[in-house]
Amino acid sequence: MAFDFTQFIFFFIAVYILLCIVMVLRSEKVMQSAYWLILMLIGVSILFLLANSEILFVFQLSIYSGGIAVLLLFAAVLTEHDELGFDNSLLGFVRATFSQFIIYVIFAANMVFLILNSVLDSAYPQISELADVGRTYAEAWSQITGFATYIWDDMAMVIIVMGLLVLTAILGSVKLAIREEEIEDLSEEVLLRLKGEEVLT
Amino acid sequence: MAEIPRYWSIYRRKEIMNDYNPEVPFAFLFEGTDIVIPNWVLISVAALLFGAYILINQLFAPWVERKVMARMQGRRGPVYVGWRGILQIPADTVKLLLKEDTRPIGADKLGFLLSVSVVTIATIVSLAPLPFGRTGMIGGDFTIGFLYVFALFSLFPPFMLIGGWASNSKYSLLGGFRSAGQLIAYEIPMLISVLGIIAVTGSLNLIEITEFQIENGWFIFRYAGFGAVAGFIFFISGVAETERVPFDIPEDEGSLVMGPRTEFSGWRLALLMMVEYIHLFVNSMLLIYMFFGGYDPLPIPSGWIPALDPFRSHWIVTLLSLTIKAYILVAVAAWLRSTLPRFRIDQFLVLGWKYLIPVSLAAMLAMLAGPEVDVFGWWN
Repeated sequence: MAFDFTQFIFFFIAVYILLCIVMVLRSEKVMQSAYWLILMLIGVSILFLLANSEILFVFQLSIYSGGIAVLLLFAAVLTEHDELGFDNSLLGFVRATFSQFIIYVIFAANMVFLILNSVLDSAYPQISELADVGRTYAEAWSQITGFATYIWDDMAMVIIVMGLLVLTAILGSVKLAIREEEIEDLSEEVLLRLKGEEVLT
Repeated sequence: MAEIPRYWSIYRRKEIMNDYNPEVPFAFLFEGTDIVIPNWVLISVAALLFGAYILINQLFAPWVERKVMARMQGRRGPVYVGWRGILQIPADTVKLLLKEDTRPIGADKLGFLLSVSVVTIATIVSLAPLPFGRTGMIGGDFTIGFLYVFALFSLFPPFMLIGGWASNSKYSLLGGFRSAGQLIAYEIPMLISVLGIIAVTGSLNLIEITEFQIENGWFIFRYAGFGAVAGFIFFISGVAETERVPFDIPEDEGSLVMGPRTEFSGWRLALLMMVEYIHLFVNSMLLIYMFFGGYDPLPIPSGWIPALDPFRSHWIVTLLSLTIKAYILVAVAAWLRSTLPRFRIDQFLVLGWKYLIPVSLAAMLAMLAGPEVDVFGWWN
């Protein structure tokens, strides 16, 4: 196979994205996780640019790395995140995140299997030809159906697993955002508010 | 098999550029001669020339701005370094680069570095789709030129916030919050004010939008004044996006020292200053491409005086007209900066969300109404 520069860049960016994902999980502060996540999103947008889909690049960059990222950062700054929920050691990290880790491993194995399958196997020629989506309706249609078949037949499992992953992330963020306060420490005003009574100020 | 229909502008563009290869700049100089120069030489020379052009403008535009401001306030501005102080900005840059690189205690190392580097890279890369002429003088000819620049600038709010947080300073953090809020609030009217133009030309590519204006007149003079309204909103939003007076709320030096940039010094500050001026420059350029005819020196449709067409499309004329228009806009920005007081943050956000967005929507609808409200349409 001839050497392709964009392929080299693709693998470089892919490694960069994986590194960012690991750093999102491994960072001690929530803000650090947030900016690693934004860097990961920028990497994904560069992948779109490599696939010649400029419009997806723009949407990924402006919506996810721009808009959603600001929301995320505001949320992260406003959360209490001074203390770690677990020991600052590898064992503590593993103990706290083993459920997420198992899901991640399943997801990653599935992804790697599918990517290897589609890259090495010639059964999916439509993936490599997506860049020059055709001159005619018929060609474009065949490409789109090919892509849809690919996603919904073989990638269906990945989407389910990804849904699980998002669910875990939501549960994790809820756990992070919840404040456990001693009921005695609260002021009378807050106690009244908690009981649903009107507070005269 | 039926052909997928293309937009008007792509057919038109093929006619205009005929059999010219827009990926190789300056190839037209050697057309019809025996001289054969490899493409990579032409591309490297063009990259060097345009890089030097942008860099020289970056060193020259702040001087122009400071001189204009000084004259308006009855001062003399920079006078000592070079002829009338023209070398003041390069001297300042050298000074900043030689300074010690400091980082506050407790700062987040990576975040402190990232905020500067990502913002700088995004700004420099955003120069790619700006064409300097009809003849291939462009870095990257994207179909989505305008949106590309817009998407890169949308990286500013998160990374200014990260920079503010990573500085471990209350001033920086508050400035970062303000910066993010301001940038988000003014991106919306900025985009809506050009939606009409995008719908009329059927393209996001800056070359095609400019060619459309060469054929049909500049947008700023069209649509019974609504073109000017949209242009005004775009300009105001552009000034607000660059966080300059009167919209420099994140850098409110009375209360926030210098906002998210407070803790940056040395080469980091030099880069952030450069980013600010390139941002101003690119926003001015976008305004020119969208409303002031891009590299077209004359505001009238090309059909009126066809004899002028070779003059209008000459590459020196296009480059010069772009530069002159950009400097006029830099002078207008300096004029605003030297005369207006700073907005308060609530007044500023009210202006953005309550006034500019509805007015820009109205201007967009007027543009979609088409020739009924078009000045050049009546005269024809």
